[in-house]
Amino acid sequence: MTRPFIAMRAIFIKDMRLLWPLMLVCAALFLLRAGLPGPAGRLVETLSIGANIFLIVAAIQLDAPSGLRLDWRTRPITPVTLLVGKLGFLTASLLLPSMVADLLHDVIAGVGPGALLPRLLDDHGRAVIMALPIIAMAALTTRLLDAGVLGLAVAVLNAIVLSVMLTLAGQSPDQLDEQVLWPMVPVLAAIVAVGSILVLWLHYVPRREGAARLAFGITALLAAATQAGFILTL
Amino acid sequence: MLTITGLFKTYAGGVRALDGIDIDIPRGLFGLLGPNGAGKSTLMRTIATLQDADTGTIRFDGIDAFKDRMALQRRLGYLPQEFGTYPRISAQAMLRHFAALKGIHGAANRAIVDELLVRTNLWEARTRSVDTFSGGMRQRFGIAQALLGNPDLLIVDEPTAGLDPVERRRFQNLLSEVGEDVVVILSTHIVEDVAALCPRVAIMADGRILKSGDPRELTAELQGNLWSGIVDKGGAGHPGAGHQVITTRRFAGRTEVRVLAAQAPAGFTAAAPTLEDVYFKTLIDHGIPIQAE
Repeated sequence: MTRPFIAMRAIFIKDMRLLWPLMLVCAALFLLRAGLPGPAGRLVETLSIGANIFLIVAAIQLDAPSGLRLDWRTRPITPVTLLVGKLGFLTASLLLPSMVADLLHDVIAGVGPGALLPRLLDDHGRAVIMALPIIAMAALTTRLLDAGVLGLAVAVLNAIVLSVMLTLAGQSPDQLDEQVLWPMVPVLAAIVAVGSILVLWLHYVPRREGAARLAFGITALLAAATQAGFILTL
Repeated sequence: MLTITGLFKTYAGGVRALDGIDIDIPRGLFGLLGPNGAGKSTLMRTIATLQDADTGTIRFDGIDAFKDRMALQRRLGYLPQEFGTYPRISAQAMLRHFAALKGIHGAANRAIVDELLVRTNLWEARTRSVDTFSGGMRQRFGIAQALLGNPDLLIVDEPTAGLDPVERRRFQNLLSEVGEDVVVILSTHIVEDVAALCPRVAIMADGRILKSGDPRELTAELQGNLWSGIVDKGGAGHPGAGHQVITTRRFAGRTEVRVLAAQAPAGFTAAAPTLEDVYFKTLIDHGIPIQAE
């Protein structure tokens, strides 16, 4: 076995040992979410998203890449090895169980074999893109609370920009239906994905924490500006 | 041999933590003494590859610490002032995890971890979580994780702060055992630890190395010029102006004053110089405020 593989396996096993109760909760919520219709389903969906965010932040921050008092940095492993170990854990603990739960639900619901894979890839591709900024936020902070505050700040900034732009455009939020906003989604997803990957690359590869923070801020502003631009064209 | 040349570091707030450090550190235990805020921890973190300097170089047996971190990290053991542990994981499991991060796996992993648990006297507590350890046990666990992979360069930052005398002695014995064949840098503000363990010492303050050498030679410099006397509460017995007071300290309910002078002040007797006298004299000579009694 190579050194990086030994280290990745160790990180994976350690995270599993520490976070298995939360992994079980997430897996149970995936199964429930897939099978429950109506308001109960929406409640479980919300709980599931919350548990997933909590697990992502906890896994990344167990070996936080930020700050100076981090003894893992003195071990002979590269930050990339650490990141790959973490992403491997998140894939095994969140992505795969979620895919299995949805696959089971689709099979039970009678979805044809030809439609199974495209549905899975579409749903979970979006989930992965949504997870990227959460991973980036967790990497930029050292505590769950700090990650929460950062997430809240981004959400508030976004809401302010949206409401200002809607007022300027003389529109109401009801007019922001999926049909109108549909062209915006791929652009926004691309910005968020590229920005988040850049943040993680800066943070884990050349270890440039300041540049990673700057990239995060620019991504958040760019995402808000993109939404504003689309609203102004309504 | 660890060679540090022209090391400077200024933090974003303008605090100059390292102000031109130049020093060679040979194999064996090396004590780095200094008051709080001297820059010791910054120096330790920089040697341990945790942070970069603004300018300067650190070389260990030909390895450039800034250009080839990984090569240095393979030979490095580091016990920081405060180290992170994972909750609810036993000492044995955590050491196995750290050993794997150093590339040690399988039977070798189990063997080295078990050996270190025995050596640090933690075998009986191996299944307990490190969270539940006392301060001394925690520090012994810290040295065990630092010793994984037989490092040639061991950095221990304030390891005995907060330990009771028994645990402190036990930790000193452990350090002196491991410090025979490798470079061990012991950073501390506890002079007794360095005096007990280190054949070489440096005194640091304001980001600079003020003095370095063999403690015996450093203390010999004061031989014949150091005097001790007892002063009462009213000041009777005080040597008066014109004498350099090195320390005043309470001992057995009385105040002992140690002064440096060519001849004994009235009522004073010759005192055997200690590393603590050298430490305080060095700080006073460089205008560093000291918090002595």
